[in-house]
Amino acid sequence: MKIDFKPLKALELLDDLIYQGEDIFSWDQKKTDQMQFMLISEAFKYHYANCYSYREYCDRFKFNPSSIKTIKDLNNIPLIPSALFKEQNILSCLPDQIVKVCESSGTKGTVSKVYRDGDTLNRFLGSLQSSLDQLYCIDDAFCINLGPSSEEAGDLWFSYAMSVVDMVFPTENFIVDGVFYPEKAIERIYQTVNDNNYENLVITGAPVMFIELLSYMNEHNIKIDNSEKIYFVTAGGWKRFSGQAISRTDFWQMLSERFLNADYQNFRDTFNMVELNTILPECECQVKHVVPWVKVLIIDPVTGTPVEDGDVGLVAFLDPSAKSYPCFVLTDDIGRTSLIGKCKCGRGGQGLEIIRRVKSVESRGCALKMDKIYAKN
Amino acid sequence: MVRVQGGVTKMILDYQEKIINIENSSKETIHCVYNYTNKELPLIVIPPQFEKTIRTNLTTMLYLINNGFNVLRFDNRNHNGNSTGRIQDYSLGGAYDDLVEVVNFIKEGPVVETENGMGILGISIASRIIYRYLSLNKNVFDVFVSLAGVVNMKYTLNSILGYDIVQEYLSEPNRDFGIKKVLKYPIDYNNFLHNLVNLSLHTLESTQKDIDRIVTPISLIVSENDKWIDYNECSEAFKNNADILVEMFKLPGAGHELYKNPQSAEVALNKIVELFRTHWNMTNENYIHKPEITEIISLNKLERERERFYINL
Repeated sequence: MKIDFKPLKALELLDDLIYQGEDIFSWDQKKTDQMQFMLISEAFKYHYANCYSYREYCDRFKFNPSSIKTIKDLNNIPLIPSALFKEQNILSCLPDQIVKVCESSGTKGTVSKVYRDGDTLNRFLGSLQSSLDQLYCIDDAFCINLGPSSEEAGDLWFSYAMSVVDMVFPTENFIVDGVFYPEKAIERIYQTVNDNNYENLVITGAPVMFIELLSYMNEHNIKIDNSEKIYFVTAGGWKRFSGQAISRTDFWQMLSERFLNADYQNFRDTFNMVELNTILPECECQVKHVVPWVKVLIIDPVTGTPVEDGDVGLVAFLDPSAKSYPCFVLTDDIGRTSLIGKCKCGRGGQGLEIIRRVKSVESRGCALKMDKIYAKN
Repeated sequence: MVRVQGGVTKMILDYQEKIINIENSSKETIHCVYNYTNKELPLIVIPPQFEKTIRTNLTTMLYLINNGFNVLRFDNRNHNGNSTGRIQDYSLGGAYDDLVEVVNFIKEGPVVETENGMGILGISIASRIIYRYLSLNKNVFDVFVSLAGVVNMKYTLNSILGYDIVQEYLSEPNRDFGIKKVLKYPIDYNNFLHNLVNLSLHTLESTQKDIDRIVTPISLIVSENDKWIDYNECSEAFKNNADILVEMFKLPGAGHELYKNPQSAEVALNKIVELFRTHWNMTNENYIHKPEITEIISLNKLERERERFYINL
């Protein structure tokens, strides 16, 4: 008796790339364009059909799915200013499909709310896993999170996103019941470095929380030897609540004075924001690599059109991985494309440099909120 | 007994959890986690995949427990997880012995109830061990479902490592193969290869011989783009005993590591629930309850804490 394999439901192309893509940073521009055209135009069609408020918004620009005929037309997809997520519930699915309400941290009270369904949250986790696999290349690590657990983070996206590393690596959180415990974090760092139970140690947190940790180490004259295998992963803004900017160079100087033999290649900043469903991690050359299914546009704030490669402008994302809301977002971050083609690390694609936030009435940023709440120094 | 709090859940049923530490004759511990809602439901045993632990099969457990089954997961000795020993000393023979110990404990009763049936779910390398178990132990399990199951260790190791280490061992059995990684963790290859070949667990032919002796009904779910398994070999292994094959399914586009691919995993887990339900004629149940990712994230944290607690013991 011969039985044949019956096919089950096929994996969607985008999910294949997110969850299983192994060569995504080696694509040439032609392949990237083809994929972006296919995936982003499909996502636009979906959100235009399923998100009433976005459709109305697009109609004002006289832009609809038939407006996308070539890759260049993706540049004209109506972008949602991130501030709009503070004012409206923007949804492309039924409310009962939402599994996580994700909030930004308006430091003066107003917050953005982004609604994620299971597929969207899973894809976010997929981007986290692929970052670790493909840009950090870490197999086995223990993670020290200078932030709260996912339960304590509640709806605050930044903290939640940092804490879900627990899905990949064993993680311990060092903000508990709203209190940061630097002495316990140091004890755990020391133990992990010396036990050799893990190949690597990953310390994650907002730059301000690292500064809190380093200040404590400084005050108590604590140094960690053998820091070669520690990854220092920062995320969130590089500005303090006081308005003072944190220099990356000074930060590394402080860090390397306390973590002896730390490797600069293991110092990785990461970009994400509540409205973006993908993580943009840095490679060992400190370039923030953009996964090829996400298109980054740098927009001239005056004309509203994309600037030349390398020029500075407002950062915008076309991210097809979000299903529950249209992730076609104009941010209030100023940046530029720092890479088109081959990086020194060997990976290719688009690289992004975030320069600063637009000066606005309300300072917005999760790291700022962490600074306001937890930082003493 | 731990009662898992319903507070973190939205879709998941409240379930009970019992930790069982089985001691073998060498005074080594096999750490098991038994989850159940109603002890009268059929039991599904889930051995670990290579390098993985009880926690890795959390989502699988949640699908089964929410859809009419109890689940017993365990950690292999000489492996990651909470059983005795380091992964460096892992061998398939050792993993086989663990399955024997666990099943003997279940059969002895009365801790784990199996009056209404017992099935086994094998994922990846665990399937190869289960084929051997079923060939030597008839009428213990009522049904076996294999997901991305290994049938040819020689092929799988060759695909992972990029060279035919089994052939090298067969050519030079006295060579020192040292301690090296297979995937993420270093393994003592001398012990691993010697055990694999000595127990004849290394080739497709050896799997065929095992399958020839099996009477348990088996269903297969394979991944179409599995780089570590030639899925055609999965059916080929049944060429002399096709009558025990109930159904075979293919996950189009999926690779081997389904724990990284929730979309294909969901499709596979739905099918696994259906296959077990069909076996026990649970035909009045059509709807499949699915855990939400937020629930999995919360429960994963609890399982991490449990893992840490038992490591400290």
